[in-house]
Amino acid sequence: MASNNTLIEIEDLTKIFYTDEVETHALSGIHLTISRGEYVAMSGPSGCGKSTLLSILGLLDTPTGGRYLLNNNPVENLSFGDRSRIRNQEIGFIFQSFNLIGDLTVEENVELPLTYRAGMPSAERKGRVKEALERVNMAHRMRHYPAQLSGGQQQRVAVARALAGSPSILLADEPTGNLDSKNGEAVMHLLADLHREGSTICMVTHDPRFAKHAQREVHLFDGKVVSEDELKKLTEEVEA
Amino acid sequence: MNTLLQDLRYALRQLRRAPGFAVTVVLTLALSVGVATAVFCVIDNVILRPLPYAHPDRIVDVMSRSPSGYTQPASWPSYKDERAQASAFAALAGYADYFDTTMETPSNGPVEFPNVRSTDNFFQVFGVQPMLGRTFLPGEEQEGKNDIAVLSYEMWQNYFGGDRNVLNKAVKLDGQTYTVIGVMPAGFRFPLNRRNAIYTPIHLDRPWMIRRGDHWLRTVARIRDGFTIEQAQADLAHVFSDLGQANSSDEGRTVRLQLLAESVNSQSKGPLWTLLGAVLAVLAIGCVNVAGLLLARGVKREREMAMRVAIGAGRIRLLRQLLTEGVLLALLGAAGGVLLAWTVLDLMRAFLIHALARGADIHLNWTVLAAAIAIAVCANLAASIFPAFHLSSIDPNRALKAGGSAGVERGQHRLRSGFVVTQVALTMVLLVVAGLLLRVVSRYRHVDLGFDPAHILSTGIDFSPARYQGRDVVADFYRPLLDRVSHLPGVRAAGLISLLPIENDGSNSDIHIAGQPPYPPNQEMLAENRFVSTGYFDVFGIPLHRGRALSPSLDRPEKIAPTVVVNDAFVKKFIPAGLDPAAQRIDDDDKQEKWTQIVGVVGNVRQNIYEAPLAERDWLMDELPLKDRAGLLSGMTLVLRTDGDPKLLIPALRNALHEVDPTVPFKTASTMTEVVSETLVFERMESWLFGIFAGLALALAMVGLYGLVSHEVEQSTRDIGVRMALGATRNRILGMVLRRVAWMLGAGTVVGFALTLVARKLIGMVIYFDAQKEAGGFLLLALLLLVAGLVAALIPAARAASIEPMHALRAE
Repeated sequence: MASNNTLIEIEDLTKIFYTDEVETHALSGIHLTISRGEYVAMSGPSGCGKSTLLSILGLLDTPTGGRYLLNNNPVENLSFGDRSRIRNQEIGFIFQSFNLIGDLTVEENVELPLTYRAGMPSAERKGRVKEALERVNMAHRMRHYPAQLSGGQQQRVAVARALAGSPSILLADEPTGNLDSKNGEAVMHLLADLHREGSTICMVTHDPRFAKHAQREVHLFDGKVVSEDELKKLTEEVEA
Repeated sequence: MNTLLQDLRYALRQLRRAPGFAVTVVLTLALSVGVATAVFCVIDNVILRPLPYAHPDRIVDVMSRSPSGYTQPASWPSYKDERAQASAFAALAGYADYFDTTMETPSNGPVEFPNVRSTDNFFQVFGVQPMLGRTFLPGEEQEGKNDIAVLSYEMWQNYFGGDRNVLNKAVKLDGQTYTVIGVMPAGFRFPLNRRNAIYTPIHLDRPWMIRRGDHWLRTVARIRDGFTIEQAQADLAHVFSDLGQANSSDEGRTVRLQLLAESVNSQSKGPLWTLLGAVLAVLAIGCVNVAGLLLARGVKREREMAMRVAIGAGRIRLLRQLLTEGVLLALLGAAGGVLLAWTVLDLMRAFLIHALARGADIHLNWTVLAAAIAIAVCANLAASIFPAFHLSSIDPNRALKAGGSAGVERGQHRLRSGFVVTQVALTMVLLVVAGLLLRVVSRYRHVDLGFDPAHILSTGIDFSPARYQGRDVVADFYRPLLDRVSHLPGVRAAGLISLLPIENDGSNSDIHIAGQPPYPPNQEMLAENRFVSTGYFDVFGIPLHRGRALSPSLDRPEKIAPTVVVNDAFVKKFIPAGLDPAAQRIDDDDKQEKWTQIVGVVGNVRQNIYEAPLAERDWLMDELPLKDRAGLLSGMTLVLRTDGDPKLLIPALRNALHEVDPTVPFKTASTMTEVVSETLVFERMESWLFGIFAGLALALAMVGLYGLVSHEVEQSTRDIGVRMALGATRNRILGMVLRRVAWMLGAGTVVGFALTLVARKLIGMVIYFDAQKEAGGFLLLALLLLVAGLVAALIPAARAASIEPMHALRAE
């Protein structure tokens, strides 16, 4: 039973991909709970289902079966429009490849999710953008275009974009994947700072060094949640 | 050579691999090159090619004008004086080209031909030798020597089977025997629009030859070697001045020489050049489309090019490869374009023959084919040069890292938007011109003609005056004819008129109303003259406004003073307010008792569709003296008002005519609706062509827009996925794409308006417009363009909105 502090609750979640009469079980009976203010890292080898799970958590994809409660509300069967609204208001995404829009300035990129909210005055939007960019130390680059920034700077802008809407949770998919170690560490410190300030974070990573930054680590293998020991054992079996 | 063949093979393989792209480019090129070639062909044949005469730069059209500035041909005595006194001309010839003649042919019965009647020096002007026999000798315009004829090549071929023994054969023209003395070579015609003509010396009744006040003879001349056109002009002006001093009828007449080459195209030259401007706009739109397609394809081929660079291909080598592909596409486009041009010219032929003096000469030739290939290659090179340079200078490292696409560059994005804005702007200009022209045609079609053209059938009647010489043509021919046709089932009224409304004007006289002060000098006081039967007014539904109608029982030839009815325009022009028009007389004779009496006033009918109704007076044909009837009534038009479809009556009408007189040829009968339509042939051709070009431009622009939006959606899949991940709904994405399209359309429309205003002078050659007055129409066209553009963008926009964010991000 979910407590009042539970933000995400998943029960027996499955995801099957069908291609050319081949069924691929990406997720098989996942159970997971994430509380408000928690910092969870999801790790596992390539193809274990981390990114699929994150996409379902972020309402970018729908599960084949099981239950998903966000803020105690079932969200697995919502319409596209409702999912868009919830993504906009409750979820902040940070992607591996930053996914900033090349045509828009830093400021416009950060403002983008806010423009999808009906009725938010322009002044409030500008205030939030400035605040988010200041939090990631990128306010001085507001007028720049993404192509004029380094990879680390682009990812900080992506974090600011995720923060600007004050979401319930930040979902980060391999946020350091396209960065060198120095910039990767900087982004990890930034996420740690945000967590300390109260943000809920769920991060997918395959790098154990970065997973250690999280409060809790969830291990996935072949679409299932396993313990750290089980993961080690299964990985050794595969490698053998 | 080996490398070139390799490039060619590779280019062919590339096109086979992307058939959709290849077909789109070839079709776009074919469409734009095809219309450009067709119009270039018209311009080449009509304007650029020299006239089919020897040294055409020495031949001038002699345009004489009345004191008030109206075009006024020469009278016979004036012409004779001009010819005798002017020294700057190798030949100054007179001709009348408005006659038709009927010839009895063994196989086709009586057939009517255009008959150009001229002075004896007519052929000297053109310097073209006959292919058989001879042309006229000096003095052969005199009576007794002038029963000779020169055949045009077409006539010789069509009616004499190209018989080389035709010389000295006798032919009957209008019942009179002529001897064939020569045959002109193929291609010779004068006037240029008189095809299938027969040339005879002047044959006219004596009164026409002696009166200086009768202006009917057109003149054309060859300037003598050693004289410039200015000197010739001065020489003839001097002669005109001398004649004006010597004869009151010639007083104030002026003359202007214009090179014949300019004169024959004076009406059509401007519109044709403007038409060329229109097809160049279509060509530009096609080029921009192809450039857009090549750019889009270039993005897809970046990885391939990067690979080639990575393994050592130089920039020049890549450029050559890409340009070979471009030339191959161009040649395919040129082939399609020539095929289209041939089809377009074939479809335009009927228009061209009627609308242009040299319309019948228009055909594809080697110059035009070479031009088509050059246009296609240049157009495609212009379109492919930028994408080729872009691709050949690609950074292999970046392109290969990007995994096949270096992504959408802001510069490219702007460039492609610029393409769409350019296309929309040019389309807007063409739409505006086409819209204005269509409105002009529509306005003329709906102008108040003074009658309802529906259910009126007309056919010309021409016969030899000699046939009815000494007989009463009214009693022996016209009355029986009217009696027969008016009793045909479905005929409500039948009548005759000497010049059909809408079709012609210019048979006029100076008018002075008895008792009025003399009119100011140089003020045009002409009224049109018509001979009619009473049934004419019934057929055209012309109301009687005052006085009485003409009546065979009242208006008899025995009366001393002739009687006429006049129209409202006549009353407005000549009769002062307060006077009863039906009680006025026209002092048109030396003897007061012979002054013409106005007995009634009827409603206006347009004589010429372009002008408000002219003043007109109508005589009853029954009133003409018996001796004048055969001459004055030898050319009339029979008109019928019918209950149903007028064309259904044609067989019965032909029978009725031939029952009365089997020697009178039955001319093609036309409904008045067709007459109106034929009169507007040039306007219809212009509006038709501009309409097609504007439609083509619109289609090409929409294809370009569709291609651009599709390409951008494809290139922006990731961005759209990101937007959706951040909360954008499908409607928002749809709105975003359509807003961008609307912006481009809006910008294109504004630029188009600006271009229209800038090009007002060029457009003015076709049509004058007042931008302020047309604002409503322009807005409507802009709206049409906006709607068409949004519809074109709807499919790719909907595709963008249906992108699954998960898939979009996974693809990245």
